[in-house]
Amino acid sequence: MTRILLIAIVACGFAPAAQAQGDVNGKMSLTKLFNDAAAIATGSTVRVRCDGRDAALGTVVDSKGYILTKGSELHGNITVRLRDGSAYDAEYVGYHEGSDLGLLKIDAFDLAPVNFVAAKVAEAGNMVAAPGIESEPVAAGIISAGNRKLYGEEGVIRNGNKGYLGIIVDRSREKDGVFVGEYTKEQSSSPAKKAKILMGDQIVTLQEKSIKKFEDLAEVLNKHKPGDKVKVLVRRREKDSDTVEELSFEVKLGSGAQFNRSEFQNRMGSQLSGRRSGFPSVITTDVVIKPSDCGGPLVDLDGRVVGIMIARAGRVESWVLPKEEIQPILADLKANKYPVKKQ
Amino acid sequence: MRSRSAACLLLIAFATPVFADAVKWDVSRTTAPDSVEELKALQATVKNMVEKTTPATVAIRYEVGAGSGVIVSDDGLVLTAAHVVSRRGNTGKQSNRAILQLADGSTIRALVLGRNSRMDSAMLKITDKVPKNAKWPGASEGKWPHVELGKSADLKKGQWVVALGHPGGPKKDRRAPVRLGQMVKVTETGSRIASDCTLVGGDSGGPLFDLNGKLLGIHSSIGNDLTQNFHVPINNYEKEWERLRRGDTIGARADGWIGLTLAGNDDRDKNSKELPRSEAKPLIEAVTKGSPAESAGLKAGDLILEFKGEKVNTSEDIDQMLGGSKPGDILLVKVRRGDDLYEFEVTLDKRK
Repeated sequence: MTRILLIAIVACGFAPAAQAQGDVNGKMSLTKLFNDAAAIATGSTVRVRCDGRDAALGTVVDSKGYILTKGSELHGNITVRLRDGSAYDAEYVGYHEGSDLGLLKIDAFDLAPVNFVAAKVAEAGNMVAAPGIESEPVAAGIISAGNRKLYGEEGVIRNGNKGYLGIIVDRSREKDGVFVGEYTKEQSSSPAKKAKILMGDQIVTLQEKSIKKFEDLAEVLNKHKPGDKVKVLVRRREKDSDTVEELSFEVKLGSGAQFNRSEFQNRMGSQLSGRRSGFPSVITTDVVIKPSDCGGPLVDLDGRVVGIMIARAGRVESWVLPKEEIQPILADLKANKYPVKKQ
Repeated sequence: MRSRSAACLLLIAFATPVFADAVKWDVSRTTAPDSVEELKALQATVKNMVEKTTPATVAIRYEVGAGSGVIVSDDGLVLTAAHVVSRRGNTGKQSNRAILQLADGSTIRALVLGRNSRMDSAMLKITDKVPKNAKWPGASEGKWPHVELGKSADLKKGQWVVALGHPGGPKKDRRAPVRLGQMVKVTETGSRIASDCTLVGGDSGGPLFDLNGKLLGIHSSIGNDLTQNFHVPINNYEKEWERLRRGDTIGARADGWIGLTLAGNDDRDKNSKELPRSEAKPLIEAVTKGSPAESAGLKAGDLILEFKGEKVNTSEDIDQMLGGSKPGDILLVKVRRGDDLYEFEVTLDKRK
């Protein structure tokens, strides 16, 4: 581990302490001070489990058993556990990709839905907490910045934890297909390079999918995570001859943190949500929360619910979807506008 | 009419004792709040200081990078980290021009003055005039919004602090995000201090405040743990204030190059056995090939006794004396080698 300058990455050549730096843990002890303020919202929070494992928290939005949660964390057999210990099988009703909100329905009729307050209530400096299904919230922190729209990279939907081949596509040959460009210094640990895929090779198929343009490549990689092994078929032209051969490789995918400086820094110290970009607008908090604890409500010291915790987005931030985004999407989800395909 | 005013009076009468008894947050406190009332007091204190300090917190664009900074005087002196306003890779001529973005999104120009790249400290001066439509207090008299300096040497471990800055670079419609935390590591020697206010790329150069809104440090680097967020203490800037202001290049990038590696290191952690440079004896650990030090005859293992004709005790003494020197300067260096004393004349060169 190296200490990292906050603009340029510099390996200072020492190994920082792995042990905790002191007994300072004041922030950790704030959660219990929210027990009273969060009591009502806690009653509206559920634990969402997929194939028997904690996948997310959920927010009750209708007494008739409707629950909003973080859709991208859902898979397999979904069950929901309430504050009182009761457990239900959940039906996955709908998924809205832009907000990453998934709507679940359970067979319960007397649930207590949350009352969201307007986004403007969430002012920078307000103390907040994320309730779980125990009396003490799972995390606490502060509103870092008020609600804002996301632009640029932050505004694009992508799988933040996707697998990487570690190649740069040769832009000058874009029209002819996907050709591997020169490996740069940043790609010294490139999985493709390690597998001996060379500069100038044309990628013909990836996992048996035909690759004609960059987007085809991205589509396949989006479905894989670092560590996955993928099959790559390349076409290689021998030097000084017209011989073209097709070669098959198995590549163990790398992570974005290997090739992207800001990715690398953002992952230092905590685990991030896979889907952590492309939301319409968010409130920024410094709450440190596990990806599997996203999807529940966020409350302030007056017990007001300022939105749904939608992502652990980076080293310094977790993001909250405000009421103004949630309500119209919830109405559409209930109206079955974004049905989930049955698998 | 009469009944309404009576109602108002009644309200005030009830309200007053509540305010008089209200719990106040002690800004020097080093422990967590114990009650909801104390947490509310902490919240009120934080919100108040954030409103005070946000207008003075800026984003800095320099060459291809983006960092943060903070305005510290009404005439527009700005503090940041040296690596925010230095060319990457330490090569070529450095630009001294930077663009600052204020809290309201407007941009202004600034000139880089001094840098100390070993300490990671730098100072800029805003060169534009205060815009006519500016709204902060004092704007009509041509004054910039600014914060006051605190005393980083008095910091206590556990003291509550706030970090501002622009993580990921400035974002549209986003004020500098507030991070709350406590001091994790404090020091009187001047090496880096640490807090658990989380930082990431783009925060560099941004301010760390006590809960009165006094500036304690400037964000510099991070470690893997969320409690490893390092800041240059503000008293380091104060010590070199005049040199930074007059535009000296101090530390590793000093204009006059000697080519010595001296004992001591400030970029260290608990596990390091090395002393900070302010405590380490100025022992030559290495002499760079082709450097002025090598041509003069200095060797690894030499202990420097006098430098520029003055007695020196620590590596930091020499860092300080090299700051502001120029290529071509001739220095007298007295060393102990084994049991013998030697004296060398070194002609400083340009950094290659």
